[in-house]
Amino acid sequence: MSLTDLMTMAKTDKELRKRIFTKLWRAHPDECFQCMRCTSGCTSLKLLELKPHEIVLLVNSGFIQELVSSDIIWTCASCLKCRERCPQNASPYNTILELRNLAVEREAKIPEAYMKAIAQILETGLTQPEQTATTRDMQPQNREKLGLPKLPYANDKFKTVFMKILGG
Amino acid sequence: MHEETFRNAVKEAGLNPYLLEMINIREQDSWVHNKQPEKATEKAEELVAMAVARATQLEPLDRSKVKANRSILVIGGGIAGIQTSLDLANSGFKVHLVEKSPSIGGRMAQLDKTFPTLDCSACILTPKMAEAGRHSNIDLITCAEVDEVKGFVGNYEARIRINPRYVDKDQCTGCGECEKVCPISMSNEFDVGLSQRKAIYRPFPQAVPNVFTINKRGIPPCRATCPAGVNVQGYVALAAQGKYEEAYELVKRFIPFPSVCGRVCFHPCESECERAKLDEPVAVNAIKRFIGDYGLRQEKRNPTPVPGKRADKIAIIGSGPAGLTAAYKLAKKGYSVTVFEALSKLGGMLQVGIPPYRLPKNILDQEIQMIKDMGVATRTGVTFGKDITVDKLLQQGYSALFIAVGVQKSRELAIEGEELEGVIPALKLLKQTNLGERVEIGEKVVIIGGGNVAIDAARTLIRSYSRNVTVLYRRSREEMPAYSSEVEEAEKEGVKLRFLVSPTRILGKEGRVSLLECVRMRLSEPDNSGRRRPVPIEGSEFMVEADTVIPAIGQSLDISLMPNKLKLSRYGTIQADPVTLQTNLPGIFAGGDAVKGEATVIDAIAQGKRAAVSIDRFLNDEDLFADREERKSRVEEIPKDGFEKKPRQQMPVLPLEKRTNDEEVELGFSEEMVQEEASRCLACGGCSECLECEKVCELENVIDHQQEETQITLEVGAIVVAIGSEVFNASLTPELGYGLTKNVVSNLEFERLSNASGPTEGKIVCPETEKPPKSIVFIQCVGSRDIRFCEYCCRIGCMVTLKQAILAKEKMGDNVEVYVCYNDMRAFGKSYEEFYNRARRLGIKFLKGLPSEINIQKDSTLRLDVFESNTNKLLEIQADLAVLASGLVASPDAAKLQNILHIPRSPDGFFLETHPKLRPVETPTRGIFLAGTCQSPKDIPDTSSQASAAAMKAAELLATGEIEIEPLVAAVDPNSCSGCKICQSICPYQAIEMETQIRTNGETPVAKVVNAVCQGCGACSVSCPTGAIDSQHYKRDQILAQIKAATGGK
Repeated sequence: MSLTDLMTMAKTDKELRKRIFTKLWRAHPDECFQCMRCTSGCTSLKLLELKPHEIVLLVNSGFIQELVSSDIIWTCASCLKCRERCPQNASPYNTILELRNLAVEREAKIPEAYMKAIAQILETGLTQPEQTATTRDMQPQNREKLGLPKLPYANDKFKTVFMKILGG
Repeated sequence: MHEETFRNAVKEAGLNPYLLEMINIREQDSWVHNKQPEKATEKAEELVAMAVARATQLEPLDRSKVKANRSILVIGGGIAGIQTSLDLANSGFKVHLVEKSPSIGGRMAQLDKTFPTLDCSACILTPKMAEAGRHSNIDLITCAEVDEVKGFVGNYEARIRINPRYVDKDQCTGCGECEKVCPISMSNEFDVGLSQRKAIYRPFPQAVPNVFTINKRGIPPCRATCPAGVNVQGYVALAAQGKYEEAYELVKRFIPFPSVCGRVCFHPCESECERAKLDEPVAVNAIKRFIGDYGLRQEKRNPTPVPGKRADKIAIIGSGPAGLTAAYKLAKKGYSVTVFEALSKLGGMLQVGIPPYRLPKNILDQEIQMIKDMGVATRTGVTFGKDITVDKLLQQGYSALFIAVGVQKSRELAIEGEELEGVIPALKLLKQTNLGERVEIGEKVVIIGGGNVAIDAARTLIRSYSRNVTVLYRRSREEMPAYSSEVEEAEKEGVKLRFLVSPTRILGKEGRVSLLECVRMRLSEPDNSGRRRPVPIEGSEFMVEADTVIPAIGQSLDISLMPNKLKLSRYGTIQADPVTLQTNLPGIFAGGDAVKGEATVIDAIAQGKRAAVSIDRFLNDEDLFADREERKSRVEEIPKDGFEKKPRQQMPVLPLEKRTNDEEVELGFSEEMVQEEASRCLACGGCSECLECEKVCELENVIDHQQEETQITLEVGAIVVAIGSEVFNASLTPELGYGLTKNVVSNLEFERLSNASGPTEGKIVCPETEKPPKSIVFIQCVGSRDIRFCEYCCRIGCMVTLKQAILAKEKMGDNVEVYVCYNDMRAFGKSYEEFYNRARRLGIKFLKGLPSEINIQKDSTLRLDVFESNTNKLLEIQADLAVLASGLVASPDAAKLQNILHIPRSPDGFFLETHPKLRPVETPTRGIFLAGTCQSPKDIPDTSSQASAAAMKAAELLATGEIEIEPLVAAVDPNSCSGCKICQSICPYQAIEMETQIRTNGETPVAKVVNAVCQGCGACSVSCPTGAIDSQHYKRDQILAQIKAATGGK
């Protein structure tokens, strides 16, 4: 007894579904009643065609493999609107996050930008490199000029801990 | 339920019906163990064995009967309460219908049309309301709440609190004249805040009872703060309406000096003004000044009417604000009052202390003249302690005295050189100048002090004597007691200020001041007055050039003039009781600065008023202390939603170059400014007690602003709870914009917008722009089916939206596009699906998908993105008006009633019925029934059905006047009872009473169970340390037999 997607002939994967549900802990994709609030407000939908309600429904039905190997799960901007406004505990954001974890675990393709970001964090401890900003009257500004304290940079201990987390 | 069936079978077989033991194999075994059939069978066998064991121990029991009161209390006067009451009343029962608000009708009265038939809500409701109002079997109690319920089924005793309506509901004819003159506008709750109503109001024209109610929130902060208790909100409200004459009369009811106070009062009312929390305080004082001056300008003013003269003569010593106020108040009561004044002119410090550029003399004189016109005699040039004495006055036949001589003696600097020529106390300078005498002043004047007298002296000097005036103050600017506006004006006029400087020595040349030695100060810890204490900096002495030094460091009472027998305080003031102002000598009262030390004009006026009340009571042999303080409580905080920011009007002032000693600096507000300013008042107290309503009411004593709450006790046999529910507060979902723009409304607000008797007379408009919307979007499930708020379906949202969408379409036709964003459309009742079809055929667009948020555009239109799942498209809706299908939530009163009635609620907050299918209108407490949305959200058809059902259930219970009581109650063996009262403390139903039993060793308290109250829960029996109390039908032996069987006889 299982569902088959007649367009792709894909079958549902109960094991994967169970794994995701176990990991999700407090979010429950099975509570989703497809009110579409998440997709109506999705920041990434307009730019990248992410439909959170569809992802939740697919995970709920067990069509998970196609999501894990897709690009679409990487387009979520993590604005958390879907989680905040979900009238149930479905929280599409958490489901997407679990799909990404699964993708990393399965060594599926991860967008280059994410790898860059990880390298950046590993190297500096910062999510973004320190930048020079330009004011409206074209004055370049940096932390030093603004009298802000210098940013702390990652030390070796941080790198060890971070690597350990990445390594699982 | 099944037990009852089997009991009857046992009875029919000729046995006692309580010789029955029943086990529930289905629910306790088959269902729960359906995956282990073998073990379940084993358990079933054991259960049967246990039941058989217990059955052998059962004892026959008999039901008892109690008398029942055949009247019913219905709580809540919405459609549910009305329907229940009418059904019961028509069946011959007496009904007490208690409603919290001023009228019955509830939510249904607010609705426009009702689904699915679209008949007018008011048209079908109001006949029922009227019937309930005049039914001889219905006792309608409005403005009332249930505070306490005691007793048991058939014999409940309910304590009802009737809140004051301030209008006699039996006499009010509902003519509405009062409403026309009321100056206070408040948010109209019947229109869900979409319109304003007056503080005296009738919720809607068809209200039952059809009478008015006054909405009071308490004493407004301004009035509560005013030492003289002047009704600030009242005169501000009247001024806002242009009723200056009425406002003038109102102020004069409290004080005789509107114009004086409007100029010199330090207006603590403004410091406490709630408006300050929104933007700036209302310029109360300037408004009062305008009202006062308006009053003075009315030429043919009749003197304040004075009742018939009374024989008692009263002497008032001192004609300052305290003395004159007392004289005014006492003259109003008809006493013969004589005011004695030491100076040549009346007014005390108002006359000689405050310079004319702040308080023009003609204003003061006019207000004093009005007091004289009331028949108050005055004698000037008479010094107390010299020309007249207490004893002499008493001998002359004065029955009471009020000493209000003020503080006239200037304090000394107590430094070297004070005796030199050129040292002139500030008060002397002011007094002489104000009486038209010239004082000899040099070129370089130094004033010492930071109070109002110092600044008054400085500004007087710079006007009339010298351009070189310096004020020295020992603390900093922040600590200055003088009004900051006065200080600023003084600086503008050229007065120099030096802070943290104190004089140490005055040096002279040929007996005249030549130099002033000063020392610099620093501020250390705060002292008793809360201000930081100045400390000299050693070695920082320096010289200031001066030929005139004006000390302005305060005044004190001239003790030398006081009679010896008059008791003084340790501060050197007259000692008077703070409540009555009576001194140690009976009949001799004292007030004003002479008692309080240097204080303000309004404090002195307040003391004058207080003394007048005391003297009147003294002369009538009444208690001086009773009821002196205001009983209503102060309004602490009022909501400021819906008020827009509006700046305070600025007082216009005389240009610097035109300022002289006699030209008033502050020019006063124009009428336009007063209108603008008075309209800023937030009307904190609700009703302002201006008493305009009393003036126009054609009947005597119908309006009673002093009405207080009353309590009544009702004896009833049953109670029906019908308190309804509340609409979900959509501002909890801020993403939908509710509360951020008026163009997002709740479905209840929409009812008022489309209602012909609503604020727009049924014309659907966007509240923000007041223009008809070109497109309306309805959003479903707001707050409902949402575990963040209410997990349940509101059961009315879909149908309400269908109805409102149809109404909009029918009213506006092709001029409006109507969209409904839904999740599931639930049209489940009779004719409901047909109604849904009708909506679709009208061209209403149904979109499956809810928006994440509503974005408010600059032109106050709305944009929302909706992912429509049937088309798989993200759609943008542009709408002028959004209507939120806000669900229903339990009433906040439900929690209160839960505790009063001891009835349970389900997790959603609504009252819990005993059984959802078989006992849907009963509560577990016998004799208490549920009707309407207090049990669960429901529509009107369901509500009235349930209301009739509840009526039927109550009628069934009380029909015979007797109630059978189950014998399954606790019973006490009095011989084993030790009287420890543990059972009494543990019983959740208060079913245990203690009675006295006479034993051989004397009297002992013994527990007794009130059978009608006991619910047989058994809590007492397990708590009893001696085993004296046992539950009938669940006795120890019976339970032990069961346990033995369960454990195989071990």
